[in-house]
Amino acid sequence: MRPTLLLILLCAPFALWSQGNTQTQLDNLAPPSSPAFVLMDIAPSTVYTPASIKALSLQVLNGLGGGNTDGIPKNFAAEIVPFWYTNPKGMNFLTFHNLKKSDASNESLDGYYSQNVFGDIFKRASVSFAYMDDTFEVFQTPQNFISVGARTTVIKMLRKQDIKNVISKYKNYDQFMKDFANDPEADITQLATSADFKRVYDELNSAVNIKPLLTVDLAVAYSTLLNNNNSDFSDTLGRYGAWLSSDLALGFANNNNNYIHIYAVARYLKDGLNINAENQLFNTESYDVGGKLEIELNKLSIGYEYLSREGDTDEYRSIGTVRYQVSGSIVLTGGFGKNFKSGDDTVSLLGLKWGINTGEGGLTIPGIN
Amino acid sequence: MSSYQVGNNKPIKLKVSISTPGHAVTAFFLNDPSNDGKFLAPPKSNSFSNTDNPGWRQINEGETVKGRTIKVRTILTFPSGMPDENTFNLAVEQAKRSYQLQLSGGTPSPAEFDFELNSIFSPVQVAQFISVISLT
Repeated sequence: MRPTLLLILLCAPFALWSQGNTQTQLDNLAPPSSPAFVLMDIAPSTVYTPASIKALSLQVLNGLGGGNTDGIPKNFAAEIVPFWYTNPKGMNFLTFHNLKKSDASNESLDGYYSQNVFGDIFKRASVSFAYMDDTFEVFQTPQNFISVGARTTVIKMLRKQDIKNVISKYKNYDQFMKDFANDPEADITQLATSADFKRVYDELNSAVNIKPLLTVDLAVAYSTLLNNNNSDFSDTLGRYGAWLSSDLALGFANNNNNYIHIYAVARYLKDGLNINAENQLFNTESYDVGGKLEIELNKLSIGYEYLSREGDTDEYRSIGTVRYQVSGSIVLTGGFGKNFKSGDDTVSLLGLKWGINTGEGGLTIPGIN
Repeated sequence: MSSYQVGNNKPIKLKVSISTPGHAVTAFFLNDPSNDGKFLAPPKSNSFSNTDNPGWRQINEGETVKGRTIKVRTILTFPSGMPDENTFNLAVEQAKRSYQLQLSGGTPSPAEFDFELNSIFSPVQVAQFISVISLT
């Protein structure tokens, strides 16, 4: 019953998402970074910070190796951000961005000069479900697994000058909107063509979306074998993992698009994906510790990550990663190097995000509508 | 159109509350009965946003408003950018569930009023709440 229940959980977001849509908007696809994928070591990188606040995103992953020879993606995940379905109390634009009044009696915007570094715990929490068909570098033939995972940002720390910049740009935006709203004949569609609106919007948008100085993220995930591929494997744990990752983002002077990221990650893993000479699966317990250095230059990010696994097994993962935003709607991600269970072989992991905006059109994903 | 019994009471006050990750700015206008009932821009700005003090605000600078009509409009925008239309729609629904327009000083006091909501995702992400209330 357990796999059946998990399969229902996995399919539910797809069913909800497709309600009312005869065609699936591929813009809802996101890079394959959900914990449900990361747990199984098939994501291009094991070090991610949850950047998106999309209410629902779908992720598609196609391993170039792993027994997948036809090139058709067979690994899918859906990730949901529950915040958008809740009723937050007393929230405004500044508190949503974790700014709070350092002096409660100060009614002016200048009172917002401190931050709640724990403010994203619920807002950025997400739950993910994944279906995978892969060898996971363990099996001779691909096996079906399903995973559930959750992640959130437990600490987000902004730079002081960035907070001041947000307040400064917010004042301009706030005043513009007050002036606009004060005209009883104002038509909201005029905002689309207003150069002044575009200016204050872009300035504030850039200020609030700047990379934080430090983020610490927590993720947990669980996976299990569906065991429906005519295999002889008995029901297995699959994997259970919990991990913390941090990102220290050092910016370049006068450039908000380029950063050096120093990541650290620690992960506990109970792993049932081990096979002995008798073709029987067995469990191991291990701890992963490692880091990643990444240089982000506008649309291109290049990084290298190294994780050491200690415990019942001693392995390591040494992967070079690359991410390139081909256009505003297409992002390529890849990982190349040695994965934990790949022995001396080099592995290649590729992910692709489509964001095809075709107005009323959109593209159809077979089987999802 | 809703109506609110105010008689010659004064002051009549207005309060708008909204909980949203977006920026919400509210303005209110009284009509001019001598000018085809056209809504007038107030002599000085009366607009306020959801980061301002959320208290009660006097209508017509505290003077009587019997026989007039008030239009209250809240414009909601998302300066941090909504990543897609689905999330935008959920954010607008979230704001709608929290939106509350109240008047006080008449009968009953306070009283809560309905509103119309319309939203646009493209080319600009914006929504507006509008209430028109006859003050009798």
